[in-house]
Amino acid sequence: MTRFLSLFLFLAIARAQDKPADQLAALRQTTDKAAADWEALAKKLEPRIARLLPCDPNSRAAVEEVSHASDARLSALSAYLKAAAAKAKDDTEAAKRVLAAHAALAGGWNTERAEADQERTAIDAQIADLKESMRKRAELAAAEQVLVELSRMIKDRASKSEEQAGRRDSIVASLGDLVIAYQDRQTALENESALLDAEAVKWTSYYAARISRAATECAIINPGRRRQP
Amino acid sequence: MKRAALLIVVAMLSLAQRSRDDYRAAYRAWREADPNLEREASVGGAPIAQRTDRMAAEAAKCAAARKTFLEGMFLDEAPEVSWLETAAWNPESPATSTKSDAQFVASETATVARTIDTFANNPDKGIQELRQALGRERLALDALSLAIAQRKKATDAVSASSEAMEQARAKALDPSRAMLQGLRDAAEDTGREAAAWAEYYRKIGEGAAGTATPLTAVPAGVPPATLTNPAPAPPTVTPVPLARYIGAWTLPQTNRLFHGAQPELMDVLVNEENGKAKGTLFARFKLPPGSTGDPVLRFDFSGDLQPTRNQVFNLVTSDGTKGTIELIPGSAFNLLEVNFQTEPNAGKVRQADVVLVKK
Repeated sequence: MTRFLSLFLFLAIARAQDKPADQLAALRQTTDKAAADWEALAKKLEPRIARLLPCDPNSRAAVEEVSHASDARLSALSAYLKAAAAKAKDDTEAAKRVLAAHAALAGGWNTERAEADQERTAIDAQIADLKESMRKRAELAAAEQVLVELSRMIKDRASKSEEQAGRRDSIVASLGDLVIAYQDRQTALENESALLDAEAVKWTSYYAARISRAATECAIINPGRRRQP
Repeated sequence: MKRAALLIVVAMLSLAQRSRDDYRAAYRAWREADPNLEREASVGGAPIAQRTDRMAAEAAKCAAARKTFLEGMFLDEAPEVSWLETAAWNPESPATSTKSDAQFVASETATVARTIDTFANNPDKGIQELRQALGRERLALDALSLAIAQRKKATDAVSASSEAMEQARAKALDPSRAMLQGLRDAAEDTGREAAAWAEYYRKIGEGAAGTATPLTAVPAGVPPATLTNPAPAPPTVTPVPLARYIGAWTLPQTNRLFHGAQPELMDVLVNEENGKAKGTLFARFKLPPGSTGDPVLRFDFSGDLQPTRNQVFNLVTSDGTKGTIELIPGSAFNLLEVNFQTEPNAGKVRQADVVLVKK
């Protein structure tokens, strides 16, 4: 029952871990598309409005279209970076859990070795007792042979446990590096996200200035439309 | 600083480990069920067979509990290793790159600057207004350029940390897998040990059935051995024949002579090769009531034979404690006095002087 429950939890966690990755992939797709849309419009803007008169409504509309595309791609990128930062945070927590689990497991191998040594001592005492009994009853020799083999098996178990326990330092160091790398990545992504939000304000200001310039150009040609660029 | 904080987190999270209580309780129950079985097995008969059955059942319970524990540990660990395997870093979206933004801003800035320069000396009021608008646009582009440069640094930091993360993940993966495999192997080994214990108790039951045959009994029809052409003893450095030291020695059945810890069992085996002696001692001592010490002692010893009656060698116990052993030829040819001392070792017998008889 416990085993089934563990298996169920394992599958549930694996499924839960997949979800943010799927969301991130979808956001990434949206972001890539929005960025491509803006880039295409931005590149065509100047050639496009060069053929229009300054007061042509299409001129302002063209600038506004690029401005909206810029807003859209910055919003998409912001959402993507926030999701990436959130996933990085989840990853950091997951890496910490892996580190803790492995550190505990590595410590458990020391316990395994100590218990194997203790068990072997008990078997040695059994062998001594059995040898004493064999003086009177030689037929116990076959049992003694099995016991000696068991002593060897337990010794082997102690050696394996010691070998596993020996991995502790390297595995804890590697996983420690992993957690730090995840934390660094999370911090870098959060920083990037914050800087993008600040940059978005500057893009808005730039496109406002660009639209203002278009209005000024129109006003020079047609002073009556100054207030309605 | 980061690592120190990490260690605290690890220490806290490590506390939540699967409990070993179940199999430990089963182990204690098994070990305490019949501690005298082996000592009394020579009695034989149905009662011993019943006792072995009970012990076999206890051993099986213990093995099952241990296997459950190890399999549980495996299931606990598997998702962690699986996460490590699947947490490969996916490259960032190309949209996070600041390259096209920087190019766009640079291009626009150049265009705006050129236009401003074109209108630099134009006195027309409308053109001046346009120039001012272009100036505001250039200021916005400058601010944007700065913001993009700052974001580029952050983007570079993300890339660098992603690479470090991937390297650390790859490095941690192999030992993690090995540790997980170790749990699986340990569970399988427990199954093999369980089978061996079942076999052991079955053999005791079989050995205890029927009439006992002492080890020293001479089978019928075998003539006693006689020396028809005894060879002279080889020259030796020791003042007494090597046979006074070499061979298998044990405690006499009766009239045991000892000083210090009381031995219940002692076997000493001494070999000689090229003037060097090498031997082992295995003993179990009777400890005072209530003592929690270890009654069993096992050590190896070796050294050059000396031209002295008493031979002294260095010894090393099975747990690495050092000491010395003195072999003293006894009052009769088949007696050997063994006197040993070890460095202090908590819970272990460290000194005894016992007279042994040649096997």
